[in-house]
Amino acid sequence: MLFLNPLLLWGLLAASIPIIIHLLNRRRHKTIHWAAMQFLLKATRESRGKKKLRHFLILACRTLGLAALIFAAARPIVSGLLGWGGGAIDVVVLVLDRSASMETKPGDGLNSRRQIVLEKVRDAMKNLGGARLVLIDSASGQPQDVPSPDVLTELASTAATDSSADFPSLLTRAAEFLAETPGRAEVWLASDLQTSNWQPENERWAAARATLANLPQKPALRVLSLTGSTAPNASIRLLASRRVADELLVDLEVSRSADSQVAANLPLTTTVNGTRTTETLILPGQSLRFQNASPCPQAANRATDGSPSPPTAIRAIMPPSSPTARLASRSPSSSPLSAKPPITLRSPPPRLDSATSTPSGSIRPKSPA
Amino acid sequence: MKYDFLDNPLLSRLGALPIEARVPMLGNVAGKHRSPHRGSSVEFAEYRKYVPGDDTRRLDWKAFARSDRFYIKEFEADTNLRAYFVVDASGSMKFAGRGEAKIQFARRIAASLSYLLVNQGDAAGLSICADKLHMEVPPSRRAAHLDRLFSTLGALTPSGPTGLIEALHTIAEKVSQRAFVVVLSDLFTDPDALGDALQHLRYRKHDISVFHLLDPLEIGFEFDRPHRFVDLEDNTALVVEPNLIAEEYKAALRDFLTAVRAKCHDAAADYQLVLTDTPLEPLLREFLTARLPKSKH
Repeated sequence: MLFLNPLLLWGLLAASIPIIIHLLNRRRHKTIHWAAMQFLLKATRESRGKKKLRHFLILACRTLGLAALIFAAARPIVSGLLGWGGGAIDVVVLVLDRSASMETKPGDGLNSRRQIVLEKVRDAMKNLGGARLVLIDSASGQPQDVPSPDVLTELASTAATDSSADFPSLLTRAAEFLAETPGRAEVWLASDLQTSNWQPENERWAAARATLANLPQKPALRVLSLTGSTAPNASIRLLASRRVADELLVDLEVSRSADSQVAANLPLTTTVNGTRTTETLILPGQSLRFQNASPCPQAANRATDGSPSPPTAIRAIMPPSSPTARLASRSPSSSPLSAKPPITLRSPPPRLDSATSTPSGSIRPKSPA
Repeated sequence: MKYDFLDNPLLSRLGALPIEARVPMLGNVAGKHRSPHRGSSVEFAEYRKYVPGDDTRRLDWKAFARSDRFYIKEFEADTNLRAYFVVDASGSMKFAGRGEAKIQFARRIAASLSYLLVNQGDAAGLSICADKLHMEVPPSRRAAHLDRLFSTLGALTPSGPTGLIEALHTIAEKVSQRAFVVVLSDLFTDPDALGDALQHLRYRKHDISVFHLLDPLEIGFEFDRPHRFVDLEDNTALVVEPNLIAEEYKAALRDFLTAVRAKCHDAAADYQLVLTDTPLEPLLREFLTARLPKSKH
């Protein structure tokens, strides 16, 4: 038996709370000097039967109820009846959602959802004792054997993509694969359950269901749900740039995914031809458009014919300590920058959880699921 | 007031009610209670045949004139009453739950009735029983005797197991003449042994009254959390969850009360179950009224 949240099993200690309360209550008694002791002794002798049994049964039910709740919260993965007698699993088909939204992180400092689920699958497979692992990723849609669960996180076919996923097709493909593969199988669907990927209204679901139902040995379907809160994120977009005298005027737009009701301070570092300027932006709402003026060094920005030349590199950075976005531009041409593709996104590693790159080089917020 | 268990206004109000004996008493002086012997009161009792040796002054000459036989005319004799208040001084009498302590309630009853008895010319005595202590104040009719009786009651400190049964047997053996025995106790003892002791008193033709003193908390047994019950008599302790055993406790107490009542009834004893939160005046008034002969009701 496996647990998706094994740390919660420590909570089983809480099952002893009813017993502790019972013992504390017994210790928290009040002393009273009593005269009618003979009836008390008689009553105590007589109540040793049914009532005490009932009392202890109630206590046991409370303890077991609490333990069952914690056990369920630890999200066990069981095969067969309560994990016993179900036999060993021969094949595990992992349907991996590699869509861009799987790169969101549940919190600062944590791995992306895709990496988290891969690690969990790796650990789970170790406990399954030699079951065959077959990967169907959303990018290729083809089943491929994984030689060892340990390499799961290093495979190119489990890496991040900016594509979307088509779950009806993936599940149909998994069913087709299982039709050709004998043995006891389980299908694990690792996804953040985005509507655009699952397409619940799609008619192909019926076909997928029918294919699965017609299999000689019906596989168990498990959804490894990766929903939940997402770390706050922000993006920066270059709207236009132009040069006026010795200054470079850059129109920027900063938008964020976090709660827009609370103002946020975002440090913005602008580097123009190596000249670095840092200022703090106060973002009062969801997005902010503003103009940034940066001095252009004369020597570096004069063409040979004496006419002013555009900057060769512009970078605007919000450091990772705050919601992160980064913009870099290398532009040999004149402004406005949006006339040609003058800037390229250089924001390693790509934070795809709240923004996706566009061909024009700007960053746009991703549409919600 | 010297004694906190005496209520003078109450005694004044109750003074009009006499304490009557239910059985003929054997006193040493004339009084207001019926005697088993014939005496010289104005109340006619019976005629009996003359036997040699009878006082010829008691011959009924009118009867002789009518029947030509000698008859002696006999009248009822009135005598006084001697009362023994048997106060249980065991540790359990210290208990005070919702009412006052049982021993204090016993003091009030004993003191009030003694005062009323002495006031009407009868003798009142005291017998205090604990495990090792059996103290007696012999009955007396003198008003000054009351002070001794009250001070003994006031100095009473309940402790240890009860010695009630032994005390009742002792009184039955020692008091040869008929008396009025008033038992003031919670009767936490074996009902069969109590029945035997009461039968012993009854065999000696004593008039018995039992005041069974209980605290309302002992009857209701209402507790909301676990308690450690420490026995007032031998200090044994027991930790129990009252809610779990309340039903059995009440059943055991109910059985006990039924048994005690039956034993008292068998011994022709007056039985009064008294809760310690009961006002004293209605209790005593009812007790005294119930003892009045039917003609005086």
